[in-house]
Amino acid sequence: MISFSLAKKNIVRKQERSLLTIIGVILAVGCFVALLSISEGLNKRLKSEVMSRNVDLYVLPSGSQHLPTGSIGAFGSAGEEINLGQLLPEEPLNTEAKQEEIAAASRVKGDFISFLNSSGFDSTMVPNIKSAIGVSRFQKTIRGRTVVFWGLPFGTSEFDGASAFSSYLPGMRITNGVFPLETKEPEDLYGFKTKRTAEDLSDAEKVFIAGNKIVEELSMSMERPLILKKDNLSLNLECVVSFNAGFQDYFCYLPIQTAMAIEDSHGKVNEIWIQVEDKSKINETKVLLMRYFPNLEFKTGSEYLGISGDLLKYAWFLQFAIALIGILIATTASMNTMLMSTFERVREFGALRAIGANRSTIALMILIESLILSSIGGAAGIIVGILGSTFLDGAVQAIFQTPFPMANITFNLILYALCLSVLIGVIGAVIPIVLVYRMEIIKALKWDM
Amino acid sequence: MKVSMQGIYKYWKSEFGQVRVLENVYMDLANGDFVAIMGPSGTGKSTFLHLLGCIDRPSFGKIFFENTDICALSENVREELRLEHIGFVFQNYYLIPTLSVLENVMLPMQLANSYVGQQEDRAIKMLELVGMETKFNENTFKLSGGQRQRVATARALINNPGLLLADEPTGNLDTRSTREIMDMLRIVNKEQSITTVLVTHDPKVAAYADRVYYLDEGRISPANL
Repeated sequence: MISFSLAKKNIVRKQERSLLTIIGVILAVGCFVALLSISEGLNKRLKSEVMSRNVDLYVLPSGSQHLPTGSIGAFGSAGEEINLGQLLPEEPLNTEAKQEEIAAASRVKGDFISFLNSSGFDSTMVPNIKSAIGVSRFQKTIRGRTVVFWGLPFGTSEFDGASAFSSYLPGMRITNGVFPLETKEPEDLYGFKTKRTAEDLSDAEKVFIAGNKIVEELSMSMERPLILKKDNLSLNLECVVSFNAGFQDYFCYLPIQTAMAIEDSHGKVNEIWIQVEDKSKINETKVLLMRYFPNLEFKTGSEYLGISGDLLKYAWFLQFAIALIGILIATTASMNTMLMSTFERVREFGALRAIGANRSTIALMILIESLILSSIGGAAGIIVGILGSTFLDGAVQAIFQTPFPMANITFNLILYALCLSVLIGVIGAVIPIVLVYRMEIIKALKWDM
Repeated sequence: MKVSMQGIYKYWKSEFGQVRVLENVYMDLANGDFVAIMGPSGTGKSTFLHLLGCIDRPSFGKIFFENTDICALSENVREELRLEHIGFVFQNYYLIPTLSVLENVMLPMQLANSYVGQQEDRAIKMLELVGMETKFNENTFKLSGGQRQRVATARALINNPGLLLADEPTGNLDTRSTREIMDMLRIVNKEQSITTVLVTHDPKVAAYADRVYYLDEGRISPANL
């Protein structure tokens, strides 16, 4: 193909200029890949975390930011809490109908709290609910790294703790130690009755479970207690676990009452996780719960992921906007190269047209030349981006003191980067192609730069 | 190729208004004719050639190749016509600097999508014809002016055109190269019966032609050399 042959030869003829264009594209694509790998990483984390849980409905404080839990919690979530003792708002009972509704809701509230207390709940007021647990979350700096702690009910001796725990976080494997069983009475599990401080905790409650990755990162040991100096508390690592969803391996897990004592948040949780009996009726269950608890928000797993995903999309666009600066520079550089190259060759194009080459042959030659340069730049830019992503990952981890990797190079990201480099090539060729199409042969032959 | 120009007018727009470049030009060329157009600079010699070469269109009048009015053809057809039936030799050669001598000569065949196996053989034949058989793989910028014009001539002939248009082909050449190029054009004209139109302001060059016309202020008339 003559267009390809001429394009290739022209690239080789103007090596310095070609190289500069390629470098421009490398920087743009590299910047794009490195920056967006963080968003991709967070997105993957979020999906992996949320979808790997066996939670059918999330109960959230009204007006909370719905920031993704866990991983992004490390950056600081909104921190709203659900006060389990005051699930319903105080409203004047004006009408008989309202009284009945409030009364019904109060009964549900009682049931709701009771099923939060116990592992198995048979509610007649809110059918279809299998079980529910209150979950709290906080973060601590340990050995210079930010660690996310999850407070969950570990279960009672009557109910196998590990099974209850892993029913919400399936795929859990104990790699070392024994899962600690809860000895606390269920009625006081969430601290409604007794406000307790860290000193009030029994030795059996001063325990925690850790994912194998965080154990490795922070060199934790079952023989050496974890001392939370500010809280004047030492916790024993009872068990090391590993999950199918790898990110959960970077968290530590505490009994809910221990978490509440540390955070001084008795009777309050960040989220309530609900499992239902019949997943096909989940929307009816949700509507019923929304009616009884108007001051709370109820989200299915996909809704929860969707809202959180929207926030991540904003982050993605923000990073894209930053990368866009590099992209615009590269596109301008590419356009400039192709334009200069075209101006230099106007006579050549005129001669080609005079001997019978049609416009599309010359336009194709310009396009191919631009695409070759941008594709080489794009391919090299992806490699640079992957290296940059590793560097950026280290920087983000250092800044936010997170123990887990943030960046993730996905197939989609590489695909976007390739498309981007092609786009740079196409845009770079547009103006020269328009010039060629408008070019008059006689003027071209007499062209003088 | 039989060419006929009938009542050709050509006007240019300039900042001073419309400028008449050619006026009522009539000319008939038979197959294998060798015609030279002479005249001072700026009298429309190149415009005359561009009109014949389908690079430009007249303001009025008709140009026939055989029995086809080329002015009425679409741009795409005129492109094909240029590629397959017209050969151009320019004063400035206009060789493609990224291509070797052989590749430059092959270029019109490649543009015409000719059979790949024939391209190189035909280009070698053409280069042998113009005496450049030892320079196939040379870069064109290493060649002398005369050699470049030989390559340009080989390129113009590669698609076996019926009409060869030469715009001041010896304008940049010394006396010896001028003689060599003109001898070559004359031989090609005779041996291949290619209708040849040459634009020059050098009477010695024009003397190679069978007929010479003089173009002055847009009007063409037979010249007496």
